[in-house]
Amino acid sequence: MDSKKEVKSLSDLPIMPSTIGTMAWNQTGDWRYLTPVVADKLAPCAQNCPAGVPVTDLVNALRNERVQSGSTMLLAHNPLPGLTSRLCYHPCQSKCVRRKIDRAISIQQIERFFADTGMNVTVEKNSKTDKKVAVIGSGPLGLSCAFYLGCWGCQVVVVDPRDHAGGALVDLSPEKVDPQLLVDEIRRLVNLADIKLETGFAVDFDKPGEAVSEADLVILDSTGLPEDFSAPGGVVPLSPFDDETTDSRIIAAKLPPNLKPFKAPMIAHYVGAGRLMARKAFDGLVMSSEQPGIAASNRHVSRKMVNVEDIKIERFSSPDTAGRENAKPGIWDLERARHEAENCLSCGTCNLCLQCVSSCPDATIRLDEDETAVTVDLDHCKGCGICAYECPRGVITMETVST
Amino acid sequence: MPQGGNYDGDGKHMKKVMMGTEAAALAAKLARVQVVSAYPITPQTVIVENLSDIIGRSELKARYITVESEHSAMACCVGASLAGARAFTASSSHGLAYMHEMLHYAAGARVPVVMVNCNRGVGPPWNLYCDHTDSLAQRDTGWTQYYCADAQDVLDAILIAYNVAEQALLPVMINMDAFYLTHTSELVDMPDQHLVDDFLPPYKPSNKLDVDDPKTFGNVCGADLFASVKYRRHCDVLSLEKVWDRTATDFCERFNRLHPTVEAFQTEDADVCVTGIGTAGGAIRLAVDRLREEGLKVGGLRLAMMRPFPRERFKEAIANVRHLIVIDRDVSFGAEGIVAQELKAVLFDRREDLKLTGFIAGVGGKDLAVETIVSLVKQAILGDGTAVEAGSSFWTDVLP
Amino acid sequence: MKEDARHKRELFTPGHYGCPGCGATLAMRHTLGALGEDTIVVMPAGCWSTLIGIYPYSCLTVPVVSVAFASTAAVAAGIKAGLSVQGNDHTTVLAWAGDGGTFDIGMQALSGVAERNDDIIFICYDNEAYMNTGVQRCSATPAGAWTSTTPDSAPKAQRKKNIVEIVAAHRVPYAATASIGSPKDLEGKLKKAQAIRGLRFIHLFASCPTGWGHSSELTVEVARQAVQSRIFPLYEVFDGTIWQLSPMPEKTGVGAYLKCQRRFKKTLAEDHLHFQMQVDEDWQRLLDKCRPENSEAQGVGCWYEKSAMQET
Repeated sequence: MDSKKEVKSLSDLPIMPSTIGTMAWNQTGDWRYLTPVVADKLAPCAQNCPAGVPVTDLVNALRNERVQSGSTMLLAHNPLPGLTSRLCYHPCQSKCVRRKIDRAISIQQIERFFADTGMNVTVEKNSKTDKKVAVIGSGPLGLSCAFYLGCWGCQVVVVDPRDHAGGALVDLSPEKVDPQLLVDEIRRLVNLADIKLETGFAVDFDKPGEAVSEADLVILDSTGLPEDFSAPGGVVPLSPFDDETTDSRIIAAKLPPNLKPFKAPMIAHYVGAGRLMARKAFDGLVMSSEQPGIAASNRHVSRKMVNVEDIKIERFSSPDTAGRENAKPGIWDLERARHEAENCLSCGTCNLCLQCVSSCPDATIRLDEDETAVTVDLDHCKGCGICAYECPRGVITMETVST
Repeated sequence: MPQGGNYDGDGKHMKKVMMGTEAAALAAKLARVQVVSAYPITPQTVIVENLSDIIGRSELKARYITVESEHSAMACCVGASLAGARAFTASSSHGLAYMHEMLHYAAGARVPVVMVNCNRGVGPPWNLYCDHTDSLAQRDTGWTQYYCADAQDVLDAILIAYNVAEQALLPVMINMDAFYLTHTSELVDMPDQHLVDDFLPPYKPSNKLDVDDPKTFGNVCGADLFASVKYRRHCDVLSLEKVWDRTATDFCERFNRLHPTVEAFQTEDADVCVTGIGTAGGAIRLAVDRLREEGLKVGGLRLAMMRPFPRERFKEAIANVRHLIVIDRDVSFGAEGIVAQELKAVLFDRREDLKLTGFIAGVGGKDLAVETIVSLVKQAILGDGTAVEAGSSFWTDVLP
Repeated sequence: MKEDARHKRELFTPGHYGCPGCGATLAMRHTLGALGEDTIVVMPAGCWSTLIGIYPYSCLTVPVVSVAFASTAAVAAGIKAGLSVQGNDHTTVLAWAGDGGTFDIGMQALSGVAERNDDIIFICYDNEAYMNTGVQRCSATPAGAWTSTTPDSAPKAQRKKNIVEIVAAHRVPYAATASIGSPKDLEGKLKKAQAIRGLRFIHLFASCPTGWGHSSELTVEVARQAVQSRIFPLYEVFDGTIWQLSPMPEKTGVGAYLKCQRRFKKTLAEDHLHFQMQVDEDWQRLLDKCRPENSEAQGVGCWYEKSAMQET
């Protein structure tokens, strides 16, 4: 910000009545009684995803052809996208605001695009610590839990009594899920997280075996197990979705009975539960408040939810009907996937459309130098509220902020 | 266009018979003005008509804008000058009055515009002839005001005016009497273009409207700085007298002609001095000769500059005078003749020993003949005459 | 403030005195954004000459001259002539006047530059009253709108002057309406204007929360509604003869526009239907002018390429 060039003598002024500097020294921010707050909010689709995938961020990454970073983002919430993109009932799509214009964005197809073509990533992992974890059960919950613990630095072994990994997924018909896909997906997960998988390993708690006895923590994926299952020393059941913690060495991940608004758990629930379980376990083991490596970004998913009323449908250009009549599942190339992504209204999530920047009478809401976000110049913003009104996706709200 | 002419033999310059307005147009051409704004009003029209032809025939590389009013005429000049070009226009009487706001603006903007004003009566009722109220009513605007004696004076003064204006960054008004100067043909020396170029270089301002050095000109000024801005302008106008003297001296060295701000005739030993502005100077000189023949120790004085007022020069010229007679071809209604009023202000410290008699004469084109001036002087000295008293002034040629 | 060779710099800086939500400042931002830094702005007394800053500081970093009220167009013509005679024919000279300085006191000089076809762009930023001096009525004020000199006891009977028709009658090469609610349309028109020689005129709708009595956040929305309801339709006129509509969303009624502005409280209560009828009539008149068979010329003539000023 320019400092005011002071005038102390006649020689400081030009002979003609012309100016010597700008008005930037004038802090018109003092005029303000409401302040624009730029904050991404959870879109209706993301609000409805049991795995907590930040759908709009993912779609925006695709819109900008940042496939690698989109894949990383996806894996940060869901390490089995190849499966979810074929099995999930996509509750995200049933809340998509775009339905009010023409039809919902094919979010599941986009996820499948990332899963099938965008997975040549290596995820950022912490180096292995000395903490050992045994996960019993290789269903989506167990695998997901094992994946995150492995990425965060635990030495993890997943054991399963059955010959094939996958838990209940193994029992699905080949039409529902190709067995080879299941194998590939699990192998990829195991490789990415650098964890061990031992199938055909029935855990007998009297003779637990190395993997379990040496573990600092044993996590039991109790999906599919009888209610009265027990182990010596006690198995403490823990719901992944609440704040409860425990000191017990053996814990069982258990989904709560009420998953409103959903009637029954879906694969996405298990995947999400596995991640949340891993976080509790990791916090208990390592006692660290720093969330390292992958999934760092979702540590505090404290975004508010966007009001659907704040999405200004009428502001979007007329429906882009070309190519959108049929969103047939199948293999989408980057072009097709990006085209779909471009139609996303990005509810609650800033996609740098820059309507706010363009409509500010004071040029005080601006694109950052690194062009990743817009910020408000609080020294000059007069709080007129145009940016908040003009944002078609509810990212900006006018609030009383104490300075 | 000048009617005839003859070379004076040495091939260096030429003399031609021409009217004062033609001389003005020629001066603008010699000064290489770059933008001319033109709005017609009698009796300046000859100036803009001549210039339109001069520019049309590419004798002068300039832009000629036929504006829709005098206010716009000055506005165009201001704009052109701020953009860094030398600008010129001419007006008179009501036209000058119409551009009054822009006169303040030009002076405040510190643009070196030179304008010719042909002194003509202000109505209603309409009057086309010589009267000085129009320009004198603008004396507070900050424009330098110079009053010409003859056509040569017109030509030369315009050249000097551009030089002075561009040094001081202040606009200059060159005044000439309607019809006595505008439409009277005289022999005028036409200086060579390259000699003029030497005397008057191109206008190259450092502060102007420039996209490579952007500034805002003229925005709102608070009470904190307004006085300072005006104060500086006032000081600069006061200093302009010296700039004019220096420049006129330089002009004289090159072209061998004097253009003093005060022209005195036989005032050194005079008890009485009669003074006026404009072409009346010629009649005053002859009247002084006549009165001296009759044994009266009278001197004469033609004031060429009214703003900035040449105080020291003037006071020096009348140091020995005991009675000053002022002939005004103008009036400030309810007060007195404007020149008389100005002189009284300058001579305040001589109020004990100097008497001042003011006459209003020759207004609206009424001829100021030598006989008239002689009789006014006699009325002033002897108290016997036909001029009628009204307030502090004596009016001639009014109905009973 | 010396710069090197002309590089991209921020032409509009914060810290100015415009009201929160000022439509006129938004108008200038969009305009300078499109015209670029090789622009000189001439502005008369009005909101802009006051909000621009206090001497000796200014919020614009293009050359600006703040001129006497009636003289905008004439000073601009003078600047253009001054630049041209020095060999500069590329700098855009922008006359930027409010509605008072265009429709009323500036009308004479505007007619002058239009008739002479002087090579300047004249933009009237229209907030429909003398806002800077405290919301007094001018000939750009719509009939029935409250102003401090047309209070409820003495409402304005006369309808808004149609300035584009007046300018178009001078057969200028380009005249158009634009709105801060349609910035892309404005940008397109500015770029188009910049490529034409001669007098180009843009009538630019600039909402005013202070004078119109609407919430400051609705400045752009109100401008959109004005276009949508056809109270302020978007169109262009080429050579004074070819009238062409610009793309606009589907026409809506005037209700929403009237409702959100306190200045139309009386109109909404007492005169709504009549107001709607007048808008519909004007819209139909415009549509009639836009029919190809009504255009006098078949194509754009080249007469405007000749400068009105005498060339050397």
